[in-house]
Amino acid sequence: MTGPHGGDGNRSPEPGRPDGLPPWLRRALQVVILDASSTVVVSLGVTLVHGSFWLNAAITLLVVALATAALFVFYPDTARTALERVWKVLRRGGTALAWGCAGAAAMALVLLAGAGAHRVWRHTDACGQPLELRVLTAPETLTPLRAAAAEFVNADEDRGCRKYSVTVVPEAGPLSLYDGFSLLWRRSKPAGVGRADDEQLLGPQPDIWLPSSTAEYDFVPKSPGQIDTRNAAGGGSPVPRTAALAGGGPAAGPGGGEGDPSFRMLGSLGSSPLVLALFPGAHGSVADPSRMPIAPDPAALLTRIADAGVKLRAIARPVPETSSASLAVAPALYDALPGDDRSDERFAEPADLVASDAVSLLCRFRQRAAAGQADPPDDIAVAVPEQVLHDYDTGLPLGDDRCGAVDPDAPQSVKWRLYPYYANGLPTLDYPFVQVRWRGQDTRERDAAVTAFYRWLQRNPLTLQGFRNGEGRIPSVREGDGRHHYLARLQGVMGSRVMPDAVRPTTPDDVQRSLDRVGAARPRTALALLLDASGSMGGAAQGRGGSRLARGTSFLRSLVSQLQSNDRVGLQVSSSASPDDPDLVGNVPQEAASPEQKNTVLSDLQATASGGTDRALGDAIAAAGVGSGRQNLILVTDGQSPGTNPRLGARTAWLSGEFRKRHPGLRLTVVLTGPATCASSPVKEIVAAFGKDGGGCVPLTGAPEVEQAAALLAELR
Amino acid sequence: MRVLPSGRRARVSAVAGAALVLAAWLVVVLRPDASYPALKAGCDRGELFVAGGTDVSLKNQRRALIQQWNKGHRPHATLVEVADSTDLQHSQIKAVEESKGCAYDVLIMDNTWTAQFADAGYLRPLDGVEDLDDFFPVALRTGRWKGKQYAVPFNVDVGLLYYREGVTPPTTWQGLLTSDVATQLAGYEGLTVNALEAVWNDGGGGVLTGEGRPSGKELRTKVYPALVRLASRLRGRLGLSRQYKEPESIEAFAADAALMRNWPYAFSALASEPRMRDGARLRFGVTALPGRTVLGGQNLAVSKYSPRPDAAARLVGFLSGAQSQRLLFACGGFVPGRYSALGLSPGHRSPADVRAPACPSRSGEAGPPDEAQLTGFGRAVVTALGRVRPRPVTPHYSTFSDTFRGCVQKIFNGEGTDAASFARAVERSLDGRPASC
Repeated sequence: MTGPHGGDGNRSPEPGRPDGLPPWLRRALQVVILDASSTVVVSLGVTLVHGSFWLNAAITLLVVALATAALFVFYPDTARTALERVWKVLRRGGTALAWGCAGAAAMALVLLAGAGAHRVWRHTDACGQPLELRVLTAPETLTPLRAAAAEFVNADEDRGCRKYSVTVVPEAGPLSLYDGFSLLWRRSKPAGVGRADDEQLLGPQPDIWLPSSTAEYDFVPKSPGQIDTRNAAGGGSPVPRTAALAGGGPAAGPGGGEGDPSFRMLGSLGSSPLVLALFPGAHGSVADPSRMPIAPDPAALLTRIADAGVKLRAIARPVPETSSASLAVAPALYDALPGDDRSDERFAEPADLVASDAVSLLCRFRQRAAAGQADPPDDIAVAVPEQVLHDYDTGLPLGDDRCGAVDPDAPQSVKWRLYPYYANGLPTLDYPFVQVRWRGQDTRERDAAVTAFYRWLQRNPLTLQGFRNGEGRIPSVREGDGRHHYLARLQGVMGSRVMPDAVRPTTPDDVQRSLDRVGAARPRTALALLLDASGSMGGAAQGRGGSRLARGTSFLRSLVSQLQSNDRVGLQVSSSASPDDPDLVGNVPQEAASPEQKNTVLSDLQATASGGTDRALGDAIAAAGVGSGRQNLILVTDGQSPGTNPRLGARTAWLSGEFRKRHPGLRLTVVLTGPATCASSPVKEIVAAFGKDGGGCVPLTGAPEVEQAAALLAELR
Repeated sequence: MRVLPSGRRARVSAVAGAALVLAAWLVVVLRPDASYPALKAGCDRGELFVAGGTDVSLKNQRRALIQQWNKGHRPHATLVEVADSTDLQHSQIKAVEESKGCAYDVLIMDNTWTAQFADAGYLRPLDGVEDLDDFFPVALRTGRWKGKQYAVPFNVDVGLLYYREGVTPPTTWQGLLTSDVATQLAGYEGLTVNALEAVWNDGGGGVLTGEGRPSGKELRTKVYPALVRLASRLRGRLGLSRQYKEPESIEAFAADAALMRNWPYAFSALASEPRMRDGARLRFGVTALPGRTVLGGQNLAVSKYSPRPDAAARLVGFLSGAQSQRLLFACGGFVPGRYSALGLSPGHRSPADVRAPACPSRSGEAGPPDEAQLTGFGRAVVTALGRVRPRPVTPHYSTFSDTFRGCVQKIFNGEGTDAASFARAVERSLDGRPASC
């Protein structure tokens, strides 16, 4: 617009102004400028409001009204002339126009009636199928995300029908994700050149992935063609370092660099700092309202705890290979604790509290509380994200239906409450929203559904479910909102001198660097896996579905998945079946547990079938290709029977004598699928032959395999 | 006042106005969507993919069947084991099919999915499956939708009654509920199954089964009161069963419960349990439930988007064939979908005619159950098959099951759910509209 010229209301530009433009051109320019300005304003409004019809209409009406009013105020002559011309035209063709409008109105009525009838009919008809969205997230985030997904599904109902259904599943840690995304969500790829008879997926292929942190997202190998930059919210390096490590990664697909799957990272959904938490006894000693709630660094926090007279036996933290949150906090703990990384690592993984993730760890405390155990361990500090601590302290369910809700105000819950302690330098998890598109499953509808869920989460962020906002602040409770789980409520119980309003976010270290550091801090382990694949392993696993072999291979898969590349692993399959029986595979020589070696072992485990008669356990052990030095022989068996292990005394004597001399650094662990127990013969005698320090027996329980594998691995290290 | 146009000019104007609005509406409705840059899959492949859950058959018999196919047939087939949990299998397979993805050719589906998948157009009708008369008719019907056969049984599940040695199994439903029986009443599909059995055996026979829609009155006067009566009996072991899924009830039975309601797979699991064996002798028996029971199991179907539908149909024929079904029963521990797999033939289909085949194993393999034990088990299964009822057949079964289960839990908890709100919620859920009591 050329602009106003005063305040007297007679502001029409005089003809023959010094700009030298003819009046018609000046007016044309004015109209163009007016229209262009209106278009810009309307477009901005529509873009901001995201298609809410009535609001878009209101904005458009407002802009047009303002533009019209401006025309009348600033250029009354032009407006008057335009109106006169319109009126002349109307008078000339008024009747025709009126009938035209009547015809249009009649047709509009017919169409509206039809649409209304169709809508009424649809209301009485059955619903269509909701679109299935698959969501992957850390076990710690399962409870809040499931709650959010349930709200989203209910909020997006159309005439009482759900438009979407959302399935939220937990991830198994950074190493599993690395392999899974590289192998198109398969557990392993066929080791040979032939085609496999069988493939196993890691579960549903996620449409949405909510990693704990941007660092975890960066860790997953991606070729440049796999990164979708449409409206990406920044963060995440375009070509992560790890992609180069993976040599481009097997995920690079046939489309000339257009790999599968494609990742699109959107914004963070909230944040949660890692905290060290203490049980009430220790908290009573350490708490000091006069001190700042955030320690300058983790070392200062540990000093404060020690100065208060609390002598920590250990810091309980989940296994880093299976928990991204634990991996994120590991370097900070190493730096804070006195001594070298090795001693720090031992301090951070107490043998009695090995857990695959934070919910498993906290679930164990909740179970102890439920069992009426008298006192919580005040000499233990727990390193977990603040958000899962919130779920634990407020009695919400933890994880995947293993640990149900409890009354947070029950005396036993109060007795086992955990109090968080904060330090600058303890990393903050930022939970980015990542859309994953898989070749052949990528449709406009799926893309729109993912976008709809993301936008819903922007309007209803995870700060309603125990998270802080992106700046690390505790959001205030929305007035009248009693159904969400705000962190502020727990803060109300704990006090703001315990839970600060704001925690400055600290970015976690690069995942590969953290893994390398944890790997270096751990004693390396060399595993010789010996799988009993005799015919009896095809029998039913004790007290549950599936075969013993399936149970054993599932356990070994979890074990192998948790190994790092400085560990060593090999596999042998033991059975009396003919060596050329094509159903029996195995015998992978022991090598460093590189991704390729792990894939070979996993692939052979997957292809193993049971067959033949029992091969005596003593013979199987004697024939195992065990390397020199410190070795762990893991024998997975159903325990066999004395009948298939004749001359047991002579065999055990040989094992305890000559064999032990030949392999002084060997430790045998028998892992039992059942039905035999550790007290059954011949398992008991075989284990005893290796002595107290050289032999052990572990029965598989009903706990998740990943947790049992983590516990065994911790024990072996 | 004129209400109709008179004169040519007025008529033309009215028609033009109407045409203009109609054209604008058609443009809005029919305009082609802007293209979406989808990641497309290459469907031009020579092999078949069979999608299902984790193979929990004994001796990995499902994989063994795929291997057999690959040894003697073309094209090569691969079994894709998606997950342990039925819900996760459903999530993955449904997501692929609704994307019109060609990833899978043959689907191993829970038999309650048939209506949903067929109604949504994910399945191809199966023509030319041989010897349909050999399938258990009630199991075969679970593969049918709107008069077309979309799926055939792969394995069948029926509720069975396990009893400890020395315990006489009750012969009436009321007797069962007043006994020391462990069953599955935790908040998952098992609760839906057990609640339906309770309804069918306590005045609600014929309601909430198959394609028939219950009336509001039936839900109020037959289903709701039966559930209230069940709630009043939740004491002792039955009360403890509110914490049980299948594995927990097996554990309770192996520990000390006198009776257990469970699926056929529990037979092999218990036979391997040292507490339930005395050498080769089993310390428990199995029989049909006293009354109606739910028909479970899995079906085989061909995906609508399979690039090789004919080959996929041949593979379905192979996997559901008599020989494969015999192996699945004898070696894999699954109840077959065919009479002949249990040694039954036309005219000889009573429980007494069952002759369980032995698993053609490699030398030296041993362990229970033996042939006689397997035959006794097969007879219990055939007896139970005569009493089975399908769950409600609706494309919205999962919505129904979630809603029904939620209502049952509220009735169990005594949360004041009344018959009218129960009936309203269940009726809505059968149309796919979620509701709570």
